[in-house]
This record gives sequence, C-alpha cells and structure tokens, in this order.
Amino acid sequence: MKRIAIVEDEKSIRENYADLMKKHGYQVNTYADRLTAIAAFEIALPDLAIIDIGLGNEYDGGFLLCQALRQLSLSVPIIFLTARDNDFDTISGLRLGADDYLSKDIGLEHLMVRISALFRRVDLLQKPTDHSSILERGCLTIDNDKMQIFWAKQLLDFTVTEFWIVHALASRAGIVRSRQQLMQDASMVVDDNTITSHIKRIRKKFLSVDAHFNEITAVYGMGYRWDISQAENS
Amino acid sequence: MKKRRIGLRAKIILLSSSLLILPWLGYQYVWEMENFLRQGQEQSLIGTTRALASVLHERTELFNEQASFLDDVDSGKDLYAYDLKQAINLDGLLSDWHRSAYQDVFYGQDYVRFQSDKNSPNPISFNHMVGKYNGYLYAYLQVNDKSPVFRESDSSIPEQNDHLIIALSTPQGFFQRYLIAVDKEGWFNAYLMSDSDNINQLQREKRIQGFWKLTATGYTIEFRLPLTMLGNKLGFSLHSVSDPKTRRVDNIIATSNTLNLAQLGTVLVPSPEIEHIVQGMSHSKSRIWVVDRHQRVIAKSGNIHQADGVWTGTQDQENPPDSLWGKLQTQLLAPLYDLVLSQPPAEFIDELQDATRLNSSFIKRALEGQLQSSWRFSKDNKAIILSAAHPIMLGPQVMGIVVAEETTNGIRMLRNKALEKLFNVLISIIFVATLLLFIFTSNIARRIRKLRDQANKAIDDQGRISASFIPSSSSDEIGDLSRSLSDMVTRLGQYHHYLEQLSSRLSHELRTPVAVVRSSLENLSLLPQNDDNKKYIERSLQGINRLNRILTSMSEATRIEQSLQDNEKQTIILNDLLSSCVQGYQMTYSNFDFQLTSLSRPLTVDADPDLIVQLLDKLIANAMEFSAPQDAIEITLTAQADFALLVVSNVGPLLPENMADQLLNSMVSVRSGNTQDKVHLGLGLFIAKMICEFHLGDIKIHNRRDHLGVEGMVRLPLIKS
Repeated sequence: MKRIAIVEDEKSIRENYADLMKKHGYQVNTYADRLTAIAAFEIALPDLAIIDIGLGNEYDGGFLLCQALRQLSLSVPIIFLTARDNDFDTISGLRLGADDYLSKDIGLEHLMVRISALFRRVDLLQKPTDHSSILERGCLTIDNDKMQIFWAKQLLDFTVTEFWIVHALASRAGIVRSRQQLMQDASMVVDDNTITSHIKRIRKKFLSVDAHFNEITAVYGMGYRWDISQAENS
Repeated sequence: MKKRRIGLRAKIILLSSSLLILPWLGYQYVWEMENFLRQGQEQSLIGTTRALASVLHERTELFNEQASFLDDVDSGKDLYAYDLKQAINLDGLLSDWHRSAYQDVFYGQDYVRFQSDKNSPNPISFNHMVGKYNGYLYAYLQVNDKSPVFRESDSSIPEQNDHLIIALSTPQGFFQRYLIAVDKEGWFNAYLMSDSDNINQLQREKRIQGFWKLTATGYTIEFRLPLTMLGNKLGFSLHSVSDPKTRRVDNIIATSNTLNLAQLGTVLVPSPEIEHIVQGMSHSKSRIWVVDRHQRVIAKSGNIHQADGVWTGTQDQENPPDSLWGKLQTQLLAPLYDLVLSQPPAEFIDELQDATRLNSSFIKRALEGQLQSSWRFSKDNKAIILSAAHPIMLGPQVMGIVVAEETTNGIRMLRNKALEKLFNVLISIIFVATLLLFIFTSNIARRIRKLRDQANKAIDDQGRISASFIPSSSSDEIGDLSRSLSDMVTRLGQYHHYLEQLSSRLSHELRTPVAVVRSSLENLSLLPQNDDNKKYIERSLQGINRLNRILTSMSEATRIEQSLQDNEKQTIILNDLLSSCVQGYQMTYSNFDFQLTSLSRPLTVDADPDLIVQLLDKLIANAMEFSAPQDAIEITLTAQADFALLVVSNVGPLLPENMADQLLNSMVSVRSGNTQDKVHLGLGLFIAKMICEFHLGDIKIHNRRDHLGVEGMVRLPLIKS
C-alpha cells in the first residue's frame, strides 16, 4: 500500500485530504508542522509527500521541508499544495525539486489524478520502456509511461502539469489547442494567465537546451500550436 | 458670483499701508515741537523786551517830558517828527518826502481857529507833515487856497497877507514865535516875532529857511529848522487873507494854539539816545519799538523781514547731493513737501513798516503795566508775527513800552526742515519695510504655491497617488506642513497599495476555508448518498466553484502586476496580432459579429504579445457583455501621430455620466445586474489599464459620438522606424 504524507497546518483540510486518500486506498500520515514531519521522514520515507508551503509560524516551512526530504531521497514525488498562487513561489517550489505545484482550489479529482500519475511514473521508472508509449515529434521524444520528455535525446525536467501540456500540444502537432483544452488536458482549473505562465516556463526549459527552439507557437486569440520545424525534421 | 481672490502679497501691501500712520505721528510730534519752540521764542522775546525795558527804567530824560505826562495826545495837535529816509530839497516840491497817507495830516474845518464869515464853509485847508533828517526838523504845509495873497513888497506890515506862524518852545523852555510872510514865490527866512508890527524891525531868523511855491490849488510852504532850536513843543498857525483889497485875515487854521505856551501842541522827535540804546539791542534780530505812553514810537530798530527768530548762521543752505537720492529729493519730494508744508514767505506785507503809532489793544494793555505777548498774522496772512511788550516804568507810572516783534519764519523753517528729514527717513523706512515684507511674503506665497502644486500633482484625477511628495527641508511651519503632507501622501499611498492588494490578500485568505469546504463536500459526495443529499451536494459544489472563480479573478490583477515585472517586450506587428485575435474571437464566440478595420501598413509596437492579447481580451469581453449578438463589434486600428490607436466599439447602453474615468479603477463596475452567471469584480478594465500603462500608452472608455454605444480607446506608442 502506498504511503502518502500530508504536511498541512490546517486541520480540516489535512483530515479531509487524508480521508479522501484513504478512500482511494492509500495509507495516509498527516503532520501539522515541519519538525514532526521531518522526524517521521527520517524514520520512514513516504511514497509521496503533499506539502503546504506556509506551516504554522514558518512562512517558508514547506520549502525547508522539501529541501530536507530531497536530501533524504531524490526520487520521492513531492507535490506543493498551497493557497499561494504567485509565480515567484511557484518557481521557488519547482526549483527545490518538487514534482508539481498546485493551488488549494484544485479539485480533489484533479489532485488524485496527479497522485496516481506520479505513482505510476515511479513504478514504471524501474521497468524497460514500452515502445508503444513513445511519442516522437522531430527532436522531441515523449515517454508517456515514465512521463519523461527528451529534446534531442536530452532529458528535460518537467512537472506533471507541464508534461501534460507538452504532451497535449505535441500529440496533435500543427493543430491549435485553446487554453481551455489545455486545462482539461492538464487536469486543472485555472485562469488563462496561468496557462500563459506555464507555456512560458515550458518554452524556457526547451530554450535552455536549444537556443533555437521555436516549436510552440502562440496563436493569439485562440491558443497554442506545436509546430515541427523543417530543420529538425531533416 | 466668483469671490475675488486677494493674494497674500496684496494683503501684505494693504497691511503695510498701516505704516503710513508713522508720518502722521511724526507730523504730530513736530507740531508739538513747533509749539514748544514758539513758546520758547515767545519767552525769549519777552526776555528781550524786559532787558531793554530794564535799561530804560527810571530814565526820565529819555522821554519827552511834556508829552509823556499829558493825559491825552491829539494826533493833529501833537506833532510827530518822522524819521526821513533821505535829504529833502527845499523847493516846494514834495515828491522827495515819500510820505504816506497816515503821515500826512489833513487840517481842515476841525482846526479852524478863526473865520470871519461864519456862515460859509471854510475854504482854506492844508496838509501837513513834519520830519527829521540829519539834525534838522523839516516840515511842509500844502495849502488849498484859491486866492493866495502875498505880502506887498513895499508893505512893512507882515500880517496883512497869507502868513504862517511857527510857535515853539526852546530847549530851555522859552516860548518863541516865528513868522513867515513872503512877497513872492521863492526862498525865505522866518522872522522872530516881537511886539513890533513893522517887518523891517523884526529880527530875521536865518536858521529857519524855506521855500514858498504856488501850486494849482494854492501854495506849498516847505521849510526846515535845526533841532537844536526846538524844545518839545511846536505849533503852526496859518493865517490866510482872501481879499487882496481889504487885506484882512479871514481865516486862521492852526495845529494848536500858538499864542500860549501851555496850550501849544507837543512835538515828538524820536530820541536819538533811546535809539542808540535800542540799536545796541539790534543784534537780537528782533524788531524793537520803544513807544511812549501815547503809543507814539520813540525809537525803533530792526527789520521784521529779517526778524525770524533764528540765528541765520545756523541755516546753511545745503545743496542736495548729486546722487539718485538727491535727484529724487529735489525733483519728486521737494515739490510734494511744498504742497503739504507751508513754506515761510520771503516777502510779506508789514503794515507797521513806518508806523509812528502803535494802536492795538495789545499795546493798550501793555500800557496798563502788563507784560504782553501776542500772535498775529501779517496783513496778507502770509506770516505770523509774534509781538511782546514790556512796560517802562518811571516810579509807579508807565512811561512807555518796549515792543519786540519777530516772525515765526525761523521756526517754520526749522519745522519744515525737521519734517522733511523725518519724512525722508520715514519714506525710506516704509519703502524698505514694505519691500522686505513683500519679498518675504512672495517667498512664502511661492513656497505655498509650490506646495499646492505638489499636492495637486501628488494625487491624480482618479484619486490615486501619481507622484511622490518631496518634503521640504526648511525648518519653519511651511516646512512642517510640507513634511506632514509628504507623510500624509506616503501613508495614503500605503493605504492605496493596501487597497489594491486587498483583493489579492482576500482571495489568498479565503482560499483555505474554501478548500476546507470543497474538500469536505468532495469527501461527502464519495459517501453513499440518497438523491436529495446528492442534489444539495451538487449545488454546494457549484457554489464553491463559482466562489473559486471569484477568488481567481480577484487575484488576477496582482498576478498580472507581478508578471509585468519580468515580462520581455518584443517588436510585434499590431495588425497581424489583431487579425489573428479577431479570427480567434470569431471562432470562439461565433454568435457575435466582429468587424476589423485595419491599416494596410504595418504598425509596429514594442510590447509583450501575451499582455496585448490579454488587454484585447478584456476590451472584447467588455464589449460583448454590453452588446446584443446581432450588433457588430467594431475593432479599428489606426495610426495617430506616434501612437497606434485601437478602438473597440459596440452598440449598447451608454455609460452613466462622469463614470468614464472611474471605470478603469479597481473594483468599479456599472453592470445592470442581469448577467448573474458570470463573475464581475470590475477588474477587467483595471487590468487593461495596467497593461496600457506598462506599455507607456493610455486607455479611455467613453460613449460613442453617435450615442449608440460605448467605445474603448487604447493608444500605444509606435516604434519609430
């Protein structure tokens, strides 16, 4: 049975999430602050951690906990779940090695989808890749099972949400996906501006390995489109 | 009616006009001083008279004994020898006498001693005057006689013709009579009268010489006698014969009874000795008279025109310096002062110039033994003359008085000088003080104006803090005001910031309870429920989703603000962006009709395309919300000077008056409330404005000119090629 750790200072939310996840068949441990959580993690690592950023009096307690957990294990999936929704906190969280960064207003369904997706990725990472799950678009290679994205054979680090967006665009290359569609694909309910931020971050990640990356085209007023450039094709 | 503005500077000028009271005070002060000086002058003048009177007390010999002891003096009977100014030619012509009317005494009916024909009016009269010059007594008789009768040359009887009898007392007190009778015009000598009737037996008195001249109306007798012959009594008696045949004396006119020493009139010859004493006082600069008890002038000295009561030596005529101030003084101030101040007259008429009798109540009172002083105007009212009188005593009796006179010209001149100096100083002080006050006030007014402008600028039309307030470093009250205003603006700015952040904070704070409710509901929905419960759970979830959207859009502005900070602008072609967007809108909202009018030439702007799209989204959303699907939403792109002008126009309800500017503010909405299914926080246009400002452009929302709807107008600066 998968063990999920929830670190959240708000008791109602903590217990609601715990109940929900228990119903989905997970074993759930809940912690109200950073120190009890880290003490427990040192004894036994959870299979997945859901962490709130603000913990009690510690404004950045979640970040510190994330760092500490990453030192204990590189592979444990970490999800930030927070009421904060600004870009700065998002970026900070993701740099610390979190696998996803979610707003608290996300529906439980969407949360559970992500959790199961992350567990699936962890499970499949150990197994050889099934070729049917490989999607290739020019220099882009997407491993659907392991939720990995390669650009020119180079592995890029994407969060679950970002992976789903790239996957949604690339799987239907040349066709415009509206923001609304991208939200559905990425299992989230956010505003247009958040999609724009995600696209920007995705672009930056590609640009960091290839300065000439130009596959994602914004079709203003409609959405985004994955273009496979000729140079890459040849 | 608009109230008239009076600035601080005008007020200070008005207030400083109260300084003008200073010259008035100065004038009052100088006026007091003048009174004081006048009193001083009066005292010193009285002192002068007292000193002179002291010299003259008990000096009997100086006074004409006879006249001085008379109770009354008759101006016709008692004669006064005027001091003649020049030598007299004994020629019967009187032009050299320079006589004046009051000196020339008329003897007519009143002086008739004998008249043969008592029934007819007296035909004979004469004008008479005596004078003194160089040791001689001069006299003339200007006789009106229609029939002058000369003595026959062969006649020895001197009294059968027109003749003049001179009666006098010698200095020794003897009574002497002299007769003048001529047989023809010309020179004559008098005869000493004795008992003899024969003229040839009469002794010729050669010291009495004269000239007899016929005139149109009669004849003139002009003669002189040495003063050494004369005592203090003198009388003239004119005997005239009208019929040359009878040669009888028909008429006698006399100054006094010439037959009797006791009844003979007196003559006053101004005393050289007193005059000598008086001359000694002449350096006092006053005009001094010595008057006997009959108010006849015994001696006088000094000239009233010079008797101004001041040592002239002290009045140096200083020339004004040849400077700006000097010119100002001579050209501007001096005429002004002349208008205000009465300058002492150089010339005025003195009616007492040659007076022999001083006849005034003032003199009369002085003769009663009282010390007197008085002020009077000169006859032409130009000068004020100060007189002081002091009695001269002989025993208990007043023998005469000393009168001294001075004008107040000196004091007036001093007063004027003092006033001029005072006014000069005061005018300078007032000018400088007003100037200083004016400069000071201008400075204050300037600082206050600066403060006002700064305060005006600090807050824009929408009440937002638009500029920081730079506090003054000055330590005074205005500096304090500036600092507290700056403080106020800063605090207001913080409050504004708080308000702008409020929605974001609120949404942040609300997120946790919303998450609690949502997660609880979702948990609940996983439990087995009957249909009723499911229905309510479903509704609650709908509500919570809506609440979620509200929270999201509440924080949208903040997130855009944050994303503005790290947005990279790039060169984009507005036309392409616009047509792509409009296509998208047409696809997405197919029930609306979008009409794009764009320029053929590309308009390039330096902008973040995502933000521009977002701006456009807001405008289009706004337009769609207020327009019916059948009406076209017009999107126009034009160039205006250095700006690209993008107008989104729709047909629909108009904006309320004066709401246009506020619409662009956070949380302002004018929706009529019939579109409940969407979230309206009034943030859309606020976000549009933020984006415009980030791109150095501006945005306006106003009613269309044809009043059919509303248009949103965005201006973005073009890149100059």
